Amino acid sequence: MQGELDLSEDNLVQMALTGDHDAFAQLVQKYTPDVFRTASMVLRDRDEVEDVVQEAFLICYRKLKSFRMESSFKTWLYRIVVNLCYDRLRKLRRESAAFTKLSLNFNVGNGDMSEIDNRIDLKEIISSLSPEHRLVLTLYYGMDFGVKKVAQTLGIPVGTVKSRLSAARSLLKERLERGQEYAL
Amino acid sequence: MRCEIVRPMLHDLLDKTLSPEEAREVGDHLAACESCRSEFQELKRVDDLLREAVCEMINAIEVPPDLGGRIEKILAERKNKTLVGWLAAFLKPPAVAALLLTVVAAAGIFSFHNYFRPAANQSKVVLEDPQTSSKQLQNENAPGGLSLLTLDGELHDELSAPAEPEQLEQSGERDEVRAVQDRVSAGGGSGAAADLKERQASSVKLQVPPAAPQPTQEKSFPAPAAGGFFAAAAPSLKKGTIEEAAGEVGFVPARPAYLPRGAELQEVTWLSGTICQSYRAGQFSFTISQSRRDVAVPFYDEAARQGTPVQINGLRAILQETRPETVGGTPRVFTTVRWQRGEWIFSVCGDLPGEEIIKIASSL
Repeated sequence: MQGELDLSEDNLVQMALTGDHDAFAQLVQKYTPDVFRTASMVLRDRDEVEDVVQEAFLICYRKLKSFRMESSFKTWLYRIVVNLCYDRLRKLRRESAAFTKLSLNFNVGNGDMSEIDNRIDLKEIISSLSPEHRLVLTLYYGMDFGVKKVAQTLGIPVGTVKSRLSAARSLLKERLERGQEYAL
Repeated sequence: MRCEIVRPMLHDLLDKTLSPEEAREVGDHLAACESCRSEFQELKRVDDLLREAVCEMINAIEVPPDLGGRIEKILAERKNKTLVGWLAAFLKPPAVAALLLTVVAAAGIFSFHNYFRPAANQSKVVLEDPQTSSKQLQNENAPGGLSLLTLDGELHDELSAPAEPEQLEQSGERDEVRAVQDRVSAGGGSGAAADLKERQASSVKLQVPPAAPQPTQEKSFPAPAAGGFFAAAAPSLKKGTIEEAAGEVGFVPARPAYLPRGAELQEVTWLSGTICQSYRAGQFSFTISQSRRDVAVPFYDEAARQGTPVQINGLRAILQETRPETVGGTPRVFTTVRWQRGEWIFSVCGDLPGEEIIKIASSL
């Protein structure tokens, strides 16, 4: 099954490379949803995400000729999306100092103890991670990229990807253990 | 294998980044060692929880159902448009574009460095009425003089003179210059909106300054002239006081409550439905433009796609920056913020730092 999909994608890409507009359109339809979701895990504003996705495909379309098939089309496309997201983040950070929580450490603080619900909100923890960490989790867990592919897409060493994954796991593990202490 | 060695490898086991031999060895150890086994199981549980949470977050994101279709449409349009039409879609408001035609035509004929003088002189050159300034420009600029500031026959004459090779880096530009001259001679000197659009469309092609690298990305756009964005070219462009502008165009433009230190209003110009206020603050300059939405809409919507979203008083705005261009010896970056408030389209553009531009914009 997987083999079949890859083959048909390769075909689509080849056709798109030769200028087949419909083939490229099919690639757009295929990847838009997941690319949109991935960008949404990094950027908050929906309009911005749409802009990024649109721009990514436009760049893709323009640069199709220089796509050398060293990586898969998917990795290449995601790489463009990620870079566009980072560009936006940089600009947003310049404009607003207090932009996003960038710390990996999600401090519980005393306030949490008064909460009736002691369940750890894992999604909140993930949301509070830096965009770069969120991206690793999104691609690895959400989009089923292997460690190597995550590294390729983000342009970072495999070791960095692994350390971010293990940091997320350790953080969660520690929080779960602490949570068990608080549970009645 | 000892526990201290296995423990760090548990993550690798989860990541599937162990070699087959390593994986086997770790597996063997886990089978025998209960403490490592339970550690791994805990880690696996966490891994599964993370996967579940991430997937839930991702699946909760609603993708606009028509997004793929919209993108396809844009690509199809892009495929069909000529280069000129495509560039026109990313154009600035009319007043700016009309000015840019003249500025860039000048840049195309004379060397970039000659035209872009230090800001103090520059605004004078750019802002003055074509009739009175042509002599001044002739004096200020390189030999040959610059008499192209009207779109009538004069421009035609200048452009038809063979441009010096070093000032048109690519033959493509030369063709573009010819294209403009064709359009201009076809369009005559009228200030009708349709003609202006035509000129604007062709003007963008000229906006690649010879001395600057060809922009390769859609995002980059031509560096506007420092010191002001007033079209000394379009015959229907007028200048005067705010009151005169308001009287002719039909609205009183918003004034900025915040101005950078030392900022002074230099000039007010207007054209069809747009009023521009030009300020100078020390070595910096900026322009505030205001137009009715129906005047600017074909350009605004497309241009809005190319830039960074920012907020101006809670309204969604687009910020664009040029690459640093060396003007009068110093690199300058021109920032434009453009947004819509009700029926009005505003833009603030200048070589001030972005934060200042935003402050001015927010104070309107």
